[in-house]
Amino acid sequence: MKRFGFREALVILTLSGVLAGLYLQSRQTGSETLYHITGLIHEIIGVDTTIERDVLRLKTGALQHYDSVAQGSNLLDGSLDDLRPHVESIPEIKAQLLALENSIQMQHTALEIFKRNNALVRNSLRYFPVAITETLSDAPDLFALLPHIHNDLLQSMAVPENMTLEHLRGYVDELNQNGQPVLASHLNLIIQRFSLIEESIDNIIYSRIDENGEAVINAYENYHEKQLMRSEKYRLALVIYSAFLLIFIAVVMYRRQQAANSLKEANTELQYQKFALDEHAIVAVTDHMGNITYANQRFVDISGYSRDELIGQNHRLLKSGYHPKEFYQQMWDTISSGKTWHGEIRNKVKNGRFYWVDATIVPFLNANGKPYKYVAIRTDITARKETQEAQKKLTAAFYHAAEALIITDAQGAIEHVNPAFEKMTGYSEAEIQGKPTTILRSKKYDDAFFKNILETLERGEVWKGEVDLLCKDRSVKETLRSRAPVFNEDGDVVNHIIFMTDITEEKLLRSKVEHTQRLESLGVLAGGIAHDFNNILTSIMGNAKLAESKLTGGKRDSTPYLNRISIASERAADLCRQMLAYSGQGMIEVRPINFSKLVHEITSLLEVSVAENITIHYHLGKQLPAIKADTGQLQQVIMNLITNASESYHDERGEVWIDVGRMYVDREWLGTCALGDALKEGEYVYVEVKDSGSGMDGATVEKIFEPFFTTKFTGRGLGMSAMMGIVKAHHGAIHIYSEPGQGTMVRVAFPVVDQQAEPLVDDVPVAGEHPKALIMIVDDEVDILEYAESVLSDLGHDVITATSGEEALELFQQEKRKIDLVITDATMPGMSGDQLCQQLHSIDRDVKLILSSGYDVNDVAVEMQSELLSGFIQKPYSPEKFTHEVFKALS
Amino acid sequence: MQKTAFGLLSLLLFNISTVASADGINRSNEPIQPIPQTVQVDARKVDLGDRLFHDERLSGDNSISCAHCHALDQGGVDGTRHSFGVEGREGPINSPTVYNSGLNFVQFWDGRAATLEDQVEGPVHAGKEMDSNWQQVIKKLSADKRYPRDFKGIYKDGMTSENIKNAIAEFERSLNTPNSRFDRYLRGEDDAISDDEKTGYVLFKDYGCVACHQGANVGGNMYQTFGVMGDYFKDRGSVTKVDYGRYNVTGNEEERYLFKVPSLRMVTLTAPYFHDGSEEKLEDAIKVMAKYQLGRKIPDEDIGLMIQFLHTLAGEYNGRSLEPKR
Repeated sequence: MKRFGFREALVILTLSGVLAGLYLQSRQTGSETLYHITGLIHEIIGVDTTIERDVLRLKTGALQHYDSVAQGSNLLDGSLDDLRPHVESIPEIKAQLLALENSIQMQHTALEIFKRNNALVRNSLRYFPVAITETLSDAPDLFALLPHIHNDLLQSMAVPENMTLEHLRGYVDELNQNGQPVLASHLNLIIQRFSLIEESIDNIIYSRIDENGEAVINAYENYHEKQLMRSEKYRLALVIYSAFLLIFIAVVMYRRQQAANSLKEANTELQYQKFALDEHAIVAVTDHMGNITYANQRFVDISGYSRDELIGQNHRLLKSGYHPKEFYQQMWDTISSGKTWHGEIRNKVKNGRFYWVDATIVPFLNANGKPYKYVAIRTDITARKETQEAQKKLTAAFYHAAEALIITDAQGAIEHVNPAFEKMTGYSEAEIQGKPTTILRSKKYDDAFFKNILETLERGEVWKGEVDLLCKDRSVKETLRSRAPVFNEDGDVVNHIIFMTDITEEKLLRSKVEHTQRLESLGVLAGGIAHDFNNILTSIMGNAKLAESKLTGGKRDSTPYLNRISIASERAADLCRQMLAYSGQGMIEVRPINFSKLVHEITSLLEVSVAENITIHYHLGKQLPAIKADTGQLQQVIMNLITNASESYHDERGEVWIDVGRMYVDREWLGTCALGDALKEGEYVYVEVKDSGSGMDGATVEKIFEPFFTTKFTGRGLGMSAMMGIVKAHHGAIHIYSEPGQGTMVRVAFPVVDQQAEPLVDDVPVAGEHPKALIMIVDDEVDILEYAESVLSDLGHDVITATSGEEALELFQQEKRKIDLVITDATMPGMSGDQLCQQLHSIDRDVKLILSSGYDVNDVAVEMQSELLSGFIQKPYSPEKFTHEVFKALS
Repeated sequence: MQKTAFGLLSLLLFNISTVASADGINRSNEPIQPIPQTVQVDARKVDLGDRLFHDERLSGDNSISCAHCHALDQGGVDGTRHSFGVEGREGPINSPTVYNSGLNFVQFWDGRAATLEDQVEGPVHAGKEMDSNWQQVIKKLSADKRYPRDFKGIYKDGMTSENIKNAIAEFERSLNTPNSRFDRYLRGEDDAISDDEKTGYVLFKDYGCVACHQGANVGGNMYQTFGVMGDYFKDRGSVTKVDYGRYNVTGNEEERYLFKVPSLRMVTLTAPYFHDGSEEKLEDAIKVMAKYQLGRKIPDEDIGLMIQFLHTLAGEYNGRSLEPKR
């Protein structure tokens, strides 16, 4: 392209030079010169004519001064000077010009001769007659001669052909002889100079200036004609040449334009490409030494250097020290040999950080095939590299984890397992891939169990639990398992990740530890219970002895002692209830209730329970949703809280606030609660009891739920433990906030249920007319049998007692009468309560059955078909409660 | 009869108008013509030429300017027989007046310069005049900041010898002296000259002085041999080279003693007379002319009248009459 342009320019320059030459040749014959020359010569001829005319006028005296001819003569010289430069270089005219110059010079000379001689002759001619007259007056003797001389003079002037002036020459001598030298000299002057005048006039008139002038014109015209023809030729050549040149230039211009257009297009295209490249990539250009000559914005951005800092620097500035020397050597070997290099490089940012680029380095080669610059196009792959690294780590973590890991698809088909899994199960990844996780199930679980797991995951929740694992060799291992869903970007479950820890050993170990702990705990518990029970029993035994001695001793009233026994028994029953509550097994009846109403019901009870120095403030929320609870147990919870709050004032005046309301419980709040971990977020109803009493320190709060831990002098340390059991059984949470000296706030929250609250009070009549019935009582505890028999007998029922299930069954079959009701203890040596119930039911479908137990109805009923039962009596029971249940069963 | 006849014939043949025109008649065909009232010159060049004309630096020792020999307040001459150049060197010839020199058909007594420009060359280089050269002159004039600047303002090529000559010549062309009393008379103002002066003019023509001293410059448009009717130089003696006149230019024997006829416009102011400055008095000069040129005697009375006439020829310069007081 460049060479093309230079060549074209050279050609155009040369052609233009020739054009200029042709033009000069063609314009040499400009007609102005011809006109100018012709004008000058015509001027010369004109002046010549004027001079000739004036000379004649001077000769005749018509003109009396030489100004005009002198000026004319100067004009001729001037015109000749003007003319000379135009023609003296033209050889063809040289002769004619010379002739003209000569003729002008000749005329010049002749004119000067004319002027001076004319002046003299005229003077002499004029003086001659005057002188004759003067002479004649002095010398009259010459009268004959002088007029004659004068006459001849006039004649010879007027008619020169008849008489020449030479003829008068004789008079000169004659005059001299006659003593007239003045006349003689004047006549002599006239004779001598008159002919000079004539001659000079001839020379002036016949100077041939006009002829020679015309000759110059003609010669010049000929020359001009020839030049014209020549220039005509040149002009033709010029026109052709110009046309050629124009065409040539047009072609060149066209080609240039085409080239420029395509160049422009290419340039625009390149600009776009460069823009696209710059938008995408990190671009740097270096010279052949690797010194940076260009850096785009991305390069500047990623490198941390300013553009000024980069330009001129060697590219090795970016070296991170990560790659070995050979890596760079290989790169340089490649690009310096003219090949493109491609690879991934870790470079260093100005501040010392690193980034990864995917680089392509393209060498630009000069005409010799040597690279003169390199263009490096790079893409930031730091994120990809980091991801790769992270993935490597994650993969490594997956494969090196000590726990067995399974990745399945959303349907549970196994995709990956780790070596720990392989070791645990005996399956290799290859053989188990694609198989469902069901092959790992032991027979222990039904489908519902696994369905529950899958449903949990489908909800997007993590399932955790202990599951048995069926290994390849059909052995079963106990595992702690979590199964978590893995979501894609749309929130759909795409994988499950299953995490299994073999806890077979651990469980074994744990059960041993638990056993030990249980024993320890039992020790503590037994100690506590024994201590309390001893106190109660001491009272009972003491009072029983006193009553007995009173009765045997003479019918004295033993009622106070029996009352004391009764009170002590109540305390014992209370103690047992608390312990059952602590064990979480004390709940008997759960039903939807309104918590506010519950608290409202017991306000009078609360008022009398607290010391007189305490004021209780109530805030009971209205329109609360129902919670599922046992009213008695919740009453116990509230009583405990109120008692604790009021006692925190240590007999001083104080205030207690009770607040019942609803709240939305989130995970965060649950995290601050006792028992909160296992609960779900959601709507809860709470009761909050707050005081501004003594408060507790952190250590005290930590131990607050431990059984038999108490800060009260008279406390048993079971209130909060029991509350813990109750709340746990109700799936509630306890939040405690306390500061020493500031007071304590306890909030207990229970999840709401989507049911209507039921009325609090049973509308079943407690007592009434009992139809007479035959009732069998079965219990391995004789005391209980006797107690129950006496209560039922007092009501008028017939009672049969049995101390075991076997005996009861035998008596039932032997008895001829119809037995209406059997009340049996649930746990007895040999045949259990529920077994007996089934047996009896199979004998007599109509027989009513009541189970009695110290355990929770729900626990007991798990093992038996509760639909067989007509009622359940929680031990220990009061006569009222007992008769109430019996009445219910019979009616 | 015969006398009458030849008188008539003379009239016919030569048409000698010795008879002065009557008052108010046309005098356009008089042998003496009025000097044109205006002359076409470049005022800037004239101004520059004026300064150069009066500048001594044109001479080798900075002592002599053009005006030294052509004092404008002395009729354009120095009033000496021969002029004196640098270091008091005496030249060989009498300075002609610079006034009306533009009307001369050639310059110098021998006409060796065709133009006023050419004429400047002579005195600048002549050893007995300014004795300098252009290189020196230009060098000296360049020291004066005004010259290069002013030349640059007028001439494209600035201060050169040609331009110096042109400026001086242009100034000299402005030295015409129009509106003399006689010119006014020629233009029809009959009262411009007195009757004696008119008579002097008639005598001037009658004696034949006008044969050579004619035209606007009353001379200056032809050559004439000094000593036509007698050998002037033999009579005067001690002939020098300058006495050869035009012969020195052409080498033509016929032109020995041939001189440019000098203008008589300033003649009453430019004594001494002739190229050799030989005559102190105008009447003596006229007598020399009568003897050697006209070959006749003129009575003193006529000479006096003619001198009266000659006084009327000096015109004005810069609007001021140069005619001497009598």
